[in-house]
Amino acid sequence: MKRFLATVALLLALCMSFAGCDFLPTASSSSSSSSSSESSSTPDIGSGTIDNIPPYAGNSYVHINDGIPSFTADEITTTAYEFYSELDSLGRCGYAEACIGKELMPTEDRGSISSVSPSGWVQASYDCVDGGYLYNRCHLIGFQLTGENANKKNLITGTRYLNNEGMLLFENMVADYIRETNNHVMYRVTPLYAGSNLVASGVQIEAYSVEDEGDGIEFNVYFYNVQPLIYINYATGESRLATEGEIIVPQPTPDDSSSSEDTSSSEQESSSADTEEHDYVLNTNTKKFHSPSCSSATDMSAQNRQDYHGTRQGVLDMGYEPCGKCKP
Amino acid sequence: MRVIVCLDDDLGMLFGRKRQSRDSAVLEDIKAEYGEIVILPFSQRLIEPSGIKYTLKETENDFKRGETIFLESIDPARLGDKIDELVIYRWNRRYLADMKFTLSLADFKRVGVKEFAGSSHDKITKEIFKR
Repeated sequence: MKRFLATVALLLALCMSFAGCDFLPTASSSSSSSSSSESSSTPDIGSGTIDNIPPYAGNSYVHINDGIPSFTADEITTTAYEFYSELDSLGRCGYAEACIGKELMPTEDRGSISSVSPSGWVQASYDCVDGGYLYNRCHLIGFQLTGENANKKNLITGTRYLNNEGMLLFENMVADYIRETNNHVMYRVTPLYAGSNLVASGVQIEAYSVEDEGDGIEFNVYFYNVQPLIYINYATGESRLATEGEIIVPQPTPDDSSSSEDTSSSEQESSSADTEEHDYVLNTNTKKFHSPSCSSATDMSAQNRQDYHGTRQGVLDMGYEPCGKCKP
Repeated sequence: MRVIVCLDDDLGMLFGRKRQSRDSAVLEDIKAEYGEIVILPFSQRLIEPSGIKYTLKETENDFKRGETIFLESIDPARLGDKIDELVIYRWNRRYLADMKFTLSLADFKRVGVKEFAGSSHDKITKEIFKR
C-alpha cells in the first residue's frame, strides 16, 4: 500500500509540474472484475480512459474505463483507513483515498468548514445558480462517508453543480450501501487540474465494494466541475456570466500565462454546431428535453410539458439533460 | 401482471448498471405482502438472502400475466400494457441515474399509499397504482 501511495504521489507531482499534462495517469492494472450479470441499457454513458474525457455535453458525469475502477488486488482491504494527499506547491489538493466502513462514518452533525479557502476560491453569486453562490467547498470524500470536516486536504473549489448534481448524489449511493450492508467500499477521489490551474477541471471517483466483490458498488466516474450559464477562469477561479453561444466547459489547454482578464481563452470557445435552432419538448418535472417525436414527449402530461424553440446549447444551459432514448 | 419497482426522487432506477439503493425494510414488506415473486438474474443476489420465495427468469419475454415481478434492471415501460398493477417504493432521496422509469401513469389510478421507516432510509413511500 505504502509503495503504491508513494508511486501515485510521485505521478501526481510529476504531472502537476509538467506543462500540458491535463490529467493524472491511472494505475495500469485493473484487478476488480465485475460480477454484475445485468445488461441494462445505460444511456448517456461515455467510455474510455481518463486521458480522453469528452467535453461536457449536459450530463454531470461520464463513466471511465466502462466503470471499472483501478484498485489493485494488493490495495483492496476490509480494514478501514483514510488518506489525504499533502497540498502541492500551489495549495491544491491531491487525491484522497479510503476504505470506508461504518466505523469511519460520522456520528455527529457536520461543523462549519468556512475557515478553509481551497485553491481558486473566488466566491461569486449569481441568480441563475441554485442557492445563489457559484462555489461550494467541495469535500473530496464526502462528510457523510468519513466524517472529515474542515480538512483542507479534503476540500476543493467546486461548483454548486459539481457538488449537488454530481458528487453528492454519488456519495448518497455509497453511504446507503454501507449503512445497509455493513460492507466496506474502497474509495478514491482524484481532482484533475489542467496545468497550473487553481480550480480543478473535474473530479474522478473510483469506488468498489469489497465483501461482495463489486456486486453492489463498482464505479469509475469523472464529474465535470462546471456550472451551466457561468464562465469560469480555471486558472484563477474568477467567473462571470457566460455570453450566448459560449461553451461554459473547461477544455483544458493549459496556458500558465493566462490571466483573469483573458476571457477569450482557448478554454472556452463557441461552437457553431450548437447554434442551430430546433423544436424541443421540455419536461419541467424530470428536467429532460426531448425531440417532439419522442414517445416520452407524446406521453408527457400537459402539466410537465413545455415546448421550446431554440438552440440545443440553450436548453442545456437551462439545466435540462438530453433524453437518453431520442438523444435530441 | 403486478410490477414492483424502487425509484429515487428523479424516477431513477440504475446508475452504471448498479441499483441506486436498497433497504431490507422494502424486502420485508414485499415478503409480507406478495409471497412469491419473479425476478431477473440482476436481482438474485439481493433477493436470495432475504428469504423471499422467487422464480428466476432470464428475460422479460418470459414474464406471464398474473405474476408479481420485482423489476430493477429494465424500465417497466418495456412491458407496456401487460402491467395491471404497479407498486412503487420511493426512496425519498436523490442518486445518480442513467436508467429511469419512463412508464406513463396516465392510465393508472393510485389506490394505496403508505410510509414507513427503512433500515437505512428515513422514510420510504409505497404507492400502489392500478390500471
